[in-house]
Amino acid sequence: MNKTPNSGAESLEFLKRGQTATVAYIAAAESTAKRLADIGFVRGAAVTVLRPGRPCLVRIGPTCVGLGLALQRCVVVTA
Amino acid sequence: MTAALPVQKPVRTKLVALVGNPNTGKSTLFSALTGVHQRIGNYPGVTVERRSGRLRQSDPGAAVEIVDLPGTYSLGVHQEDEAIVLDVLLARAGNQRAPDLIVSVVDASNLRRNLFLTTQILELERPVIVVLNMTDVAISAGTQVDVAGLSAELGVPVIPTVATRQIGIEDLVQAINRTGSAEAVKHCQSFPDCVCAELDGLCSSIHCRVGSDNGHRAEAMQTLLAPGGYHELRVIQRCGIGMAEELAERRGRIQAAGESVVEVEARVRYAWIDRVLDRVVTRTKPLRRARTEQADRVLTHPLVGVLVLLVVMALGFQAIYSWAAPLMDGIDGAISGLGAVVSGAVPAGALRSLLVDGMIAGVGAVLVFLPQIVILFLFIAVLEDCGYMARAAFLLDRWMNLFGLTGKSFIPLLSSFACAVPGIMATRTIESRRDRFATILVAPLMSCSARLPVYVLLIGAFIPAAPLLGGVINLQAVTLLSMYFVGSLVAIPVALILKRTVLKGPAQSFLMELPTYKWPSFRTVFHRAYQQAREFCKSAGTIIFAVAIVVWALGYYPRPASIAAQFAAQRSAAQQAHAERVTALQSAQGVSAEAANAMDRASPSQGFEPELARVQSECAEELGRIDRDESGAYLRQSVLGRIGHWIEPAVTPLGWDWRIGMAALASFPAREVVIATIGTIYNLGDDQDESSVGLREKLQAATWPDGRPVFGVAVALSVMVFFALCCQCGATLATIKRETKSWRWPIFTFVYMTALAYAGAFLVFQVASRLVG
Repeated sequence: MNKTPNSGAESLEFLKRGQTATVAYIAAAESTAKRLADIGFVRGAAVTVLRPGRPCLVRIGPTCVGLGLALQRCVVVTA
Repeated sequence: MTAALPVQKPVRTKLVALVGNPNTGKSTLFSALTGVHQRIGNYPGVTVERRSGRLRQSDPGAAVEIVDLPGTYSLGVHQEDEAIVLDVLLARAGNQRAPDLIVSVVDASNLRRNLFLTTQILELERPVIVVLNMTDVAISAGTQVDVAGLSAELGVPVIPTVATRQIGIEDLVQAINRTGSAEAVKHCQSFPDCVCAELDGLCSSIHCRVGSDNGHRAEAMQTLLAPGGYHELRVIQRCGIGMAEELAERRGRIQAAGESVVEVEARVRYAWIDRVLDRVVTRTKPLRRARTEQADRVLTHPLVGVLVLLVVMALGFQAIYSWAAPLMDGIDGAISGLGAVVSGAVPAGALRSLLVDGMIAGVGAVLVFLPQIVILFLFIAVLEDCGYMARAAFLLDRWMNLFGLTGKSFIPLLSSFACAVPGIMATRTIESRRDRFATILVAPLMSCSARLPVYVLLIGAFIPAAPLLGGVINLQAVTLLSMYFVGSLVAIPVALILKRTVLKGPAQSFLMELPTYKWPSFRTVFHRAYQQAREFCKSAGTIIFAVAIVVWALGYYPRPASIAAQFAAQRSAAQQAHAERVTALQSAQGVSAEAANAMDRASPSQGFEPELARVQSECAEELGRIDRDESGAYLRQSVLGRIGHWIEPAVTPLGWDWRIGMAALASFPAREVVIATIGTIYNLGDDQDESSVGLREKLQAATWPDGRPVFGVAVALSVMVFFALCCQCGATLATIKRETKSWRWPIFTFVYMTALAYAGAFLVFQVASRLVG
């Protein structure tokens, strides 16, 4: 597995069921990024995919969040 | 004048604001603190509900008013009903003053998320009490919170409560009474220097531009760090366009210093919260979240989950119709009884007609739906309170996307099956304006409970109860079900077209927190249903009351003396004829009695008594017919009748006669009045209800001037489709105006739905009359 932060980066969309990853950054317009950040999608947060799909179901911190495809693509994570 | 006498200062009511995330039991806590004495109003200029009430056990001489603010996750937001929270806390909402004390309600079982808002509130520099609610849920989930430790970390009192079971309420009341306005906290997160510098700069810049009561640090933060948000918009509006440039420069400097404008607040706050929680929370067992996640493995499954949802919906609607039936019959009976009592007590004339035909029948026709509406709201409140509604929105998101809507459109559209008014108000949770407006515009197409009586009346009268599928279901039930589907099916292309034209744009991507499942609190659920019931009765007492009176007046006036004279003559002729027949009978009886005596028979002549009874009942029937013809004659030349004849050419292609056209026209302000209107128009006196055999038979017997029956299957279907698609509801249009802040959208809704209804009724009549004759 590649441990360097940038090379392993991919969007949340490609994570499989049960996989946990770390949020690297949010690639979105500012107002969208702020909404995601307030829920807990900030650099370094651990995110686990409970059910992939459109929308997908993820656990971020202690919260379960449903995320549509466009927003999944905004969340860039590293394994 | 001597030295100033000690002036008795008027006791200043202490204003307490309840703030918290959604689903923290805030409303339950509010009810526990205030009891039943609540007032519901609106904040000036916005549609957000303002709920307030007196604290039940305040100290003598010190009145305490509690305001329940809308649930929000953060002070920096994009939705109006969340933005009101910061406005109220900073006394920006109209003429309201700032609260003397803020009570921040947090869910003990989800502390990390809930404390985010609390840290923002602590920075407002006001006295704060933190309520640690749902401690029972937290403990059973294995979360032990060190209350004293949390209080020390936050620097404010922390009161543990279980609002649903009234635990801790006494402590909270005491804390509220004890905490004075002097105990303002000063608690600030340590933001990076570059952010603090820009914040201070922005505060003083706002001060300079618009005065010193503006530019609170908390507002400056939500302006600077939430680009495109509600507060940025407002500050720019107040300070002028130069502020937009200033904000861009300040944000540029923060980015240049290596900070992310949008992330910094969340990162700083969550980092602090995590440190605090490490110290004050101990876990006694693994997270209960596991149970919610297990349940979600089934309930959010794209196939199984949707099946479960369909079963839940089917059971819910079944309950609405079967449980409500006896209650509706009861209300119906009570209203008819009241009408009869009033009829007996008031002399015939305009006043009696106004009271009985106008007010009691009009408002009564609406109140009958109260049980259905209450049960539907109980159903929705239970699903919401236990956390299932968010799953339904999650499951249906991809299906709703196909029609250009979002998963969040589901709850408003479901509510619209009871009544479009609360359905339209429920769209406030949809952030995207386009998605929200598209949902609002199709919500009135959902078959609301006021359409039901029209279906029931016409199906009972004209659709045969032929068994289908080997007797599993009959044609009447299938027709009723189809009427329910017509609106929803038509809503699909309408939404698609709207999202491709006037509201162009893709559906906003789904973003929703799915709360942990919990048992619904019956207090909360019943409270919500009670409030809806009250709102409904209020509207029945005002708008519908007014409409009923107007329709009655249009159908009652003018009353020319010529008609009265004509029918008085008919009546006296009928009475005369009757009297003559009775005399003739009696004399015949006298003759036959003499003959009988002469023949020395004991028994009187046979057949006299029944003959007399027959003549009398014929007379009563004749007089009844004259009464009905008279009210029919009045109606025909009333304002309503004249308009009806004038519009007849327009409704003939739908297969309608002027009377149906008039009933449809009269029910534009509120479709609930249609049964009463049809009743009046069909000469029956108008306290007919949908199950009334009289009205049903009258419709079956109605004919065109040339003797053909007016109604047939085709006409019945045409009328039902018209009602299914038409926006005959003033309350809905007024709500759309309020929610969209423009007359454009209600007018648009009215025009497109009326056109659709006309086209649909035309199509159905033309096709059906060729198929079934």
